Amino acid sequence: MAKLELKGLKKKYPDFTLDLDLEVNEGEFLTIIGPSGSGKSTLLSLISGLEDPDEGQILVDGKDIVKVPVQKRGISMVFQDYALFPNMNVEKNIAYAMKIRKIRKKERKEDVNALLSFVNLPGYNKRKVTTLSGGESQRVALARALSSQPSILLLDEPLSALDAALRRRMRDEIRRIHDENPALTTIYVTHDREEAFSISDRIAVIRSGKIEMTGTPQAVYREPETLFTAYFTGEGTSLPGTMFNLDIEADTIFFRPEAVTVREGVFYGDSDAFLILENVEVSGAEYLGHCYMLGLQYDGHRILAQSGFYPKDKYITIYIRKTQLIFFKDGSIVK
Amino acid sequence: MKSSHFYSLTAALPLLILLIIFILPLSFTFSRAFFTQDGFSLELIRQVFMSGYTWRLLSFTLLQAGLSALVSVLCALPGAWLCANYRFAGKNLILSLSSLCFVLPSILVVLGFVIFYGNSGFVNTLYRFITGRDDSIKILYSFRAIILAHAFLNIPVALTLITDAWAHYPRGQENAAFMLGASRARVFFTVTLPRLRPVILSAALLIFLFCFTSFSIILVLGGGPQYTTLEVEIYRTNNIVMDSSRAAALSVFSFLVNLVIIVIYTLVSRKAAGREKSRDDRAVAIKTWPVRIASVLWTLLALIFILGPLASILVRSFWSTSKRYGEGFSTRSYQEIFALRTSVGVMSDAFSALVNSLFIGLTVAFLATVLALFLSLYVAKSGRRSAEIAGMFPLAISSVTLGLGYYIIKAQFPSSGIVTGYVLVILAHLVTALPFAMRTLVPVIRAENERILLSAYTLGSGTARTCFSIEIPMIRGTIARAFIFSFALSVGEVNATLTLAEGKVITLPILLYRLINSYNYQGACAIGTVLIATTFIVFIIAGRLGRKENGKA
Repeated sequence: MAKLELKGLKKKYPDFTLDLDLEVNEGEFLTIIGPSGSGKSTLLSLISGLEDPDEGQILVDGKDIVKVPVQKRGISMVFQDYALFPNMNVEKNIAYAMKIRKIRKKERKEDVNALLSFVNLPGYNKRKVTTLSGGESQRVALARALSSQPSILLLDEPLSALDAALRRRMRDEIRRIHDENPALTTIYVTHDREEAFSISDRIAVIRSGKIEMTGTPQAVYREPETLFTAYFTGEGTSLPGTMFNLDIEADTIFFRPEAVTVREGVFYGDSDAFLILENVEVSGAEYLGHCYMLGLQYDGHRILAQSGFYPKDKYITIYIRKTQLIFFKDGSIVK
Repeated sequence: MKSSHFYSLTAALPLLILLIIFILPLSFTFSRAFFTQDGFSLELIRQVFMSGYTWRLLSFTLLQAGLSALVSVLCALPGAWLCANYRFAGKNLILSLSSLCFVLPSILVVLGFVIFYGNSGFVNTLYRFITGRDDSIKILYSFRAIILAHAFLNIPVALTLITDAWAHYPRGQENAAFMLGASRARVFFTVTLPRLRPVILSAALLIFLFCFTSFSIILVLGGGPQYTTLEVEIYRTNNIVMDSSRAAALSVFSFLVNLVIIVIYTLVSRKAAGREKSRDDRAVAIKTWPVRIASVLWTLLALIFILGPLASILVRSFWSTSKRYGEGFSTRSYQEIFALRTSVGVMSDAFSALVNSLFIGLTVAFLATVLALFLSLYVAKSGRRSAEIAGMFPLAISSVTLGLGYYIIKAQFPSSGIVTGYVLVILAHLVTALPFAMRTLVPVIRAENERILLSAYTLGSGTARTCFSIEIPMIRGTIARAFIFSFALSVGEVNATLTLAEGKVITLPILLYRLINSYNYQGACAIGTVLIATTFIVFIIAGRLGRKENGKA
């Protein structure tokens, strides 16, 4: 049985409607990605109980909690800007939920210390939260969220306020915290696909309040169920199906830049395994460090190709690996 | 969020109290204006509206308020420019003094003016010393004096408001204009000034509102019938001519005019709020000599302007000019205040006035802060404009009108004891203070980070618990400010107290007013010094309480 199940969940706003079904398993780390305004944060607000759905059910362990007030749901949340209580020090922030649950002072102190060392901030008890750096605030917010011993932890773009290096470190930290609490189910919201790939067991792609696809990071990248998912989870090119003689009924062919091989001179590969396009114009290139991202023009279409070198010629021949082609009809995948 | 009724429940009682203490006196005033012995009649109102005198009063009131607002804002602008853009010695001192000025009772300002600018005051002594002549510059008891006193009270208001807004505008837009080749003057007029316009306008209107209902300054410094405003006329008609019906009709007139001003103010200040704000202070170190000299000159000028009248009160309080007790240094007045020496005449009430002022001031400040807090929480959460307007509404009735209302109520009781007097004074002060306390609290609660409360809810904390353990402690500083404002308003209140007291409830400002009238300046200054000290101490204590735990005030 799923730990969390959303059934026919609906929430209407004047300019936007959320309408979706979703299942999350116990102990799973699920990431929700989508563009801004797609309903990611709304979804978290509904699950946590900060907002009420118009229709539908939210089942935790099979029980509908829609009528349960936010305070009694046992679901914790970490906010984008941490939302630490500015009138309390670190210790009081973390002990807040324990006090509500009337845990005795001595135990409280021990638990706070345990949580602080768990998030790698031992000895921070008396620090004012206004003096903490972004990464430290983040850790305190995590410790505070865990202090109520939630079975479900919601994280709303927790890393977006941090710089790139710290983001990487905190990402690993969050995953470690999840893994060390085997019963903890984590739902993580981000708009950063790399973050989603590196941290998640499973990813749900959301767009205008609807789920486009759920699947493992590999699945959403390699076999995106919709064209939107394909583009949202990485770079790629789509060409009209009519350009090629295909025995598959599709209006669009999609492929990732790494499916394209650029060769100068003779190509030794098995030419049957590739779609071959000749006289492709090199119109631009971005150097990415480990490779070049080439912008190509073919028959009025723009193609992205990954290449280990920058081609000498203005016109080149490219080979697209057939096994890596993804076919779509009306925006949905054709298998 | 599942709507919790916590906020509406806690606001219900304060709202009821507000309505009663506000509507009750108003309806008594109105009934006096609309009902004669023969029943309902518009005759009184008609007389007031048709009388040329009323309109002359109105035009003078508007003129002095407009001029005061203009002068205050114009004088504040250069200072705001310096304070917002540069760091220099004395800046923080002046800004703190400014916020102290804001809470100084206006009767004190009157006193300071009489001592500082009067015939034997500092300014004229200096004038005689320099010119060697025997005459003096007549500043007091003129139109000029009214404007000057209003400017003294309100330049700090304008300075604080404009500096605060200006200092938080990011420099980006100006820098972009510079890079596009615009000159300094052009940038100021095309980029900076348009951004400041709403703040300047809202500050000017606020000052206009203050000066429109200004009372004690006009009463003492105006000095003649030619400088009478609506408020003073209402007071005079009721308390000296003893015609409460005509006074009530005038109140109705004044109330309507006030209402119009408040509506305009609310509309304009809504534009001023919610503008872009950067966290960074835009102030930089001064690099050029002209600016450096300007900053020094301005600081000196501001210090003399603010501290001059205050310091002269302090000095004069130790200086006796009495033939009977001998001239020169004397602590006689202080001994009288603290009941160390029995005294005759007005000063015999000094000690009880001090106790009264403290008791009434603290009671009013406490009640106003608590009531305003829960009302503000409700107003800010509900997002309902009607609730906010209801809170602003009392601003439309001046304290003279209120005093009149309570005066009429009091007349209903055949024998009103001393307790009734206290209760009425406290209630009248409370109505005056409440809207100011709310004006202080509501914007801050609005600007709160809602997610902080939401995260408390997810941790299992109920609405009430969250409110008391997080929300209220979070805005401690602002609550302390609301307390100071309320205390200052109450402790300096003359109008309503004068109308209601009838010699029974004597507070420091009332005593001050009487002492000025009987030319006992040493006594007045001693009372004034005590009043300054009281305000200052409450200012410091509340400021400390607010800063504690808050990280920053």
